[in-house]
Amino acid sequence: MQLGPLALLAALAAAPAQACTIGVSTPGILALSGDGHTLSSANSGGIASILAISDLSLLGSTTITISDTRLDVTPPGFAAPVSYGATYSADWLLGVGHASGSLAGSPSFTVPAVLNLVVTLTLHNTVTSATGFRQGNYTTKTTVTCS
Amino acid sequence: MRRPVLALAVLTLCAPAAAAPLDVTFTGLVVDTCTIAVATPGIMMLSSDGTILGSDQGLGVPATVTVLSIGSNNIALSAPVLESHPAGYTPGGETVEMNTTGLASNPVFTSLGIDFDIGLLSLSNLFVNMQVSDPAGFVQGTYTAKTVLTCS
Amino acid sequence: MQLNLPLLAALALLTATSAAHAQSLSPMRNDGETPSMVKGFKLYVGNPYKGRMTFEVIPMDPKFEVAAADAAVNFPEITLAPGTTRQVIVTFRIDPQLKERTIGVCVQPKDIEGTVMPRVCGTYTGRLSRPGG
Repeated sequence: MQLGPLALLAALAAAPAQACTIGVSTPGILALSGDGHTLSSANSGGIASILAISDLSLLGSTTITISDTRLDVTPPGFAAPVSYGATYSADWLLGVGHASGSLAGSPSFTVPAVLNLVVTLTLHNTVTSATGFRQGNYTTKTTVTCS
Repeated sequence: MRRPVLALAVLTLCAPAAAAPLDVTFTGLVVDTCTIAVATPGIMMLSSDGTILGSDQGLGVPATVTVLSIGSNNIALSAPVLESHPAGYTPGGETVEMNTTGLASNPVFTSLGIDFDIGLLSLSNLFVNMQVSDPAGFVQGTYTAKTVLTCS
Repeated sequence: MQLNLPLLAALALLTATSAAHAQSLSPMRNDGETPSMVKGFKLYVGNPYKGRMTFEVIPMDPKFEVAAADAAVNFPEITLAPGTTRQVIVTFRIDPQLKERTIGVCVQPKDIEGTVMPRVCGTYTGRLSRPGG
């Protein structure tokens, strides 16, 4: 890719100062388990959320933190206590770089400063309720931060 | 070479800062389910004194209903009625009652309906006993008493 | 028709594998809008029994006491093989003065023996969407 040096400078100056761009390539879908106790993207019918993290800093490594998995939208009248389980799996540099684990305790992992690096992050969300889930729409959220 | 100068210029212009955190959203829809099946139809037998026809008499059998529920549902049993009787029998003096054990405990026979809410329930049994009492007794023949169990 | 205890094991197996469709009636509640005066809902009726059974699908009032007027099911009577599910469509007319109507739909086996008649009933609400958005 050939770019005039001045044009490149202008493009960079116009870009907002940020440590990365996070794009959601596949939104997550939760499905109810057969026994009605868990709502999870890992259940049959569920889909994990896949994110592509790019435009990472070239000045040093970037730390990606995943935190605060929570139930955001529930049908009215749902107040059961729930527990969360969630897992993540991240790959970069064609699988050479890898991090994975459970989301308990706000895990983070570090990726190096490499040109055009893209990190593929696969997230699963699970909500468990001993008393089950009422009919209605449920939304969970997980926060991904670059720093 | 111009490139190193350019790189320096880029550095001073862009001050890196932490990105605004992004919330990743998962969505799901839960649909209420209620599955009920009569595993064993109830059978009523005559008591030794001939005034009670009941599923808990002699070789009688209570009805077994299996219930599976996801979400929140309600089970309602209608007040039991004598649905059919042989030609020689005159209805009017009979009392039809039922009780339930198992999933819901209403052990005292009642002629009224029974109503209770259920939440998440893995396959569970509800036993329903039915009895028809008539101090004048019963003539020979087939009697049917029924309650309508509605899951809604 | 005699139903015996091995049915319970069969039921447990059926329900363990099914997550999306209910075994008897699904969904049990729904609501939606219609641009015309008739609202329709797709429902799934399933057979949890071990043998073939014929079910009656009856549109009723929201208290499930009397049959509903101005409502119809495309298959009022369906015979299902054990463990299968079939889609039925229930439609009902909404009075333009009231703009909203709630009906019940009950699924019950036809000709069942014994002291208990089981039925699963759902509640469905249709609303007229306002013309012009």
